[in-house]
Amino acid sequence: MKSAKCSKAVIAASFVAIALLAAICWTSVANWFAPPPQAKEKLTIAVVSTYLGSGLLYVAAAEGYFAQEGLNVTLQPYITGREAINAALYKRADLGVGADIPVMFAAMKGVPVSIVATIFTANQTHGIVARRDRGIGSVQDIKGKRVGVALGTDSHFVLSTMLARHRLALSDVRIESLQPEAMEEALKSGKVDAVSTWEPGLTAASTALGVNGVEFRTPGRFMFDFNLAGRAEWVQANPEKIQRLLRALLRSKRFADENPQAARAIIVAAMKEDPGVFDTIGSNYRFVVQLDQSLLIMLEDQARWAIEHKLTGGRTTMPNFFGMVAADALTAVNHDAVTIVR
Amino acid sequence: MQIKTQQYLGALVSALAIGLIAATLIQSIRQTDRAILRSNFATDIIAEGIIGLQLVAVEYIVNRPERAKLQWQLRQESLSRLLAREVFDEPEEEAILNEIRQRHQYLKETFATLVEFGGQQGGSEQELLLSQEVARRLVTQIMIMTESSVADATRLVRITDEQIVETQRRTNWLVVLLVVVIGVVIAANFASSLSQILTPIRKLKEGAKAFARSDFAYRTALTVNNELGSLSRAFDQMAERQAEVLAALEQKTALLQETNKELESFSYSVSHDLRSPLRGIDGWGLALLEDYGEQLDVTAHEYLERIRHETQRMGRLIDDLLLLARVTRSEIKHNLVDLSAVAQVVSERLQQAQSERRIEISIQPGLSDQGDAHLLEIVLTNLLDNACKFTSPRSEARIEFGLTQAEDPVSQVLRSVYFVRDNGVGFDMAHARKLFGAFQRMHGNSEFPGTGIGLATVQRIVHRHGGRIWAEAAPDQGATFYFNLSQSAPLPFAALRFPVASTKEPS
Repeated sequence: MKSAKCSKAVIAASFVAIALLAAICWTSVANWFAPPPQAKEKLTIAVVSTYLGSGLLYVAAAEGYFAQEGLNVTLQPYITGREAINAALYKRADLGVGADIPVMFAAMKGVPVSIVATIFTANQTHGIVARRDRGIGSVQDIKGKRVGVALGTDSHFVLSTMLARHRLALSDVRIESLQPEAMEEALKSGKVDAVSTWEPGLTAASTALGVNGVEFRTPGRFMFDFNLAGRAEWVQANPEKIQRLLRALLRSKRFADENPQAARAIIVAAMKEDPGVFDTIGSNYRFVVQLDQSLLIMLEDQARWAIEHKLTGGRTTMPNFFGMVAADALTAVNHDAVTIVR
Repeated sequence: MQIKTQQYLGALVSALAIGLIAATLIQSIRQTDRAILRSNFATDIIAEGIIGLQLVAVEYIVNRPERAKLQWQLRQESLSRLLAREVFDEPEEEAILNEIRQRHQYLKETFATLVEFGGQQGGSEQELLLSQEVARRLVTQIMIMTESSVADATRLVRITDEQIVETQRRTNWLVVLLVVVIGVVIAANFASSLSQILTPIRKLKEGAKAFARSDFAYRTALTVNNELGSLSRAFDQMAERQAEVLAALEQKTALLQETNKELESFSYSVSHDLRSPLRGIDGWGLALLEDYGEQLDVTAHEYLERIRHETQRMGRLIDDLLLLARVTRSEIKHNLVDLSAVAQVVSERLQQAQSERRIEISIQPGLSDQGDAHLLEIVLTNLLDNACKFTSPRSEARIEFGLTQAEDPVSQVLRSVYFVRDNGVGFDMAHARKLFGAFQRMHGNSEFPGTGIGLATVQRIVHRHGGRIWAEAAPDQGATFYFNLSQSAPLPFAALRFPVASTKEPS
């Protein structure tokens, strides 16, 4: 009887021991296969809510790619790229998105800026909309007219270039500094005779004027980049965070390439725009995550333009833009995406 | 499954698999060729097209020579022709090529505008400055467009190179797959052969060996459903039938042996019991002659003599029968027997008994064999006695005993056998079958007296030694009796040499 009790106790103890061993083994195996816990890194990015160029960031946020890369990203909306880049440069955000022009101006002012990647390219997205009732039927007719423009943006550069193609200098027109969101109303009300702006505001202004409006687009392949940039010191200090961000953006790009309609829906929802906003630029855009040689060419060209038009506060020499491109992070996550000559 | 079907099926599956893989391999090789063609095309766009355009564009921008403008136009036209080719069929590649084509068109227009603005000489200072500003923008655009086209063409090269790598990787895997498929087919065929062919053959071989040692209990017990399976089942049925036959035979043999024993016992008892009254008849006949001979006439004497003669003959017959029964019943004691010596003793005894005759008996010396000495003496006595008897009409009897080689009439194998040859009256071979039967005689009793049991006794002794006996003869040509004592171990033939003759001249 005593022996039987002992046997039962031994069997019970054996079961307990086996169960414990199995639990320990299972925990070890589960730990082995489970992804290592990642602390969420906080990141604030200043985006442009009036332009499609921030599209990949919206997609990454919506699809959870930031979270999957261990990032807790806050997107701060701004009206122009100039404001968004400045938000990053003046520490209101970690990184900002914007065209080449605000980066160039920051560099010309001596602000240490680093470009992490180009995330959007487009052409024929910029142009001039004018009122016919002010006697404007061609670009030459703008001479002497009041033209609304967001100074220090691509539209400023485009206006200058388009005027020059028609033998007009910026000084031949009366420049009115306007915020992008005020242009449609200013043109409609007759406060200005023409505006130089970008999509989707360009089509909106033209539509608002109806038959009274005339539209002049940039000729040929006038490409505009939209870049992710920040303070040089911050970029240098956060390589791991930037790599995670770029990995998330690369996943966004793959998603946008494979699901263009879904990506468009996410972007227009984030921009609080009409779904037809993409129709304004047709197929003349590409979501990219790259750093190519044309970025440097464009920055330098715009720097020359800014110097010629005395927009640099007296500075007449061009900085070394090559040193402002932080290519290491993108090279680390996707070597082929960096085609800058090095 | 039948082996034939299996082999056909195996060949068909192999052919299909190899055909499929070969077709995929060819397709893969074609895809590689096409990818190489596309890669070369993309490389040509960069190397021969855009880079050249960039070079002459820079030359024109820096120094504005007319030659550079002309070269630009030539290269631009050749690049246009190159880009017009339809080489890509994948949507992504086609989209990139269309991008390059579109950009090339813009490039052409931009360069034309650059030529237009760059060539401007006159005008106001502002106009010149504006022209220069436009030219700078245009140069920037040209550089960006050419750089972008190079980047796109490089993408094309990379995509096509990836395709080449992918198709080559696929080709490699197909080769591996081909090797694996062939290996699997070989392994399957081997395994199938092992279980479906080799195992049945091994079992059949074991069965045949078992048959050879009279083991009819062996069964292959195979379940394979092919030709060898059918053969194995037939083999097992045959073994079963053979076992049944053997069992029946053993039963019959046992019965026969029992019956034979009873017959032998009966024969011995009868023979033995008949001898006493016969001896009594002969004895009483002799007593009658001796005690009352004078009172009997000649005819009575003759009758009494005939009674005694027949009685004595019957006695001999009974003796022979008893001998036959004894040789059948007695235990054989195997020893090495000097047959030449035994023959010599027998021949001398015969020659002494028939000293009036001229008999030449030749005995080969050195013949010895394993057997029962007493029984072998009976054999030689009977054979030599017969030889003497059937040579009695000859003025010179020649009898020979020795070892020779002769063909066994049953097995038709040439083997060493003993022989007893004479130049007697011989016999007709048509009656040879009854030669060794008891009471069977070739000649009349008056001509050659005998009981007809001698050769039956000889045959019984030879058979009991495991040997065989037969005869060859022709009327008036003499007779030869061949025998051996073992079917498997004939004596060495070398002993055929050195024959010696033992001739007894009539005294």
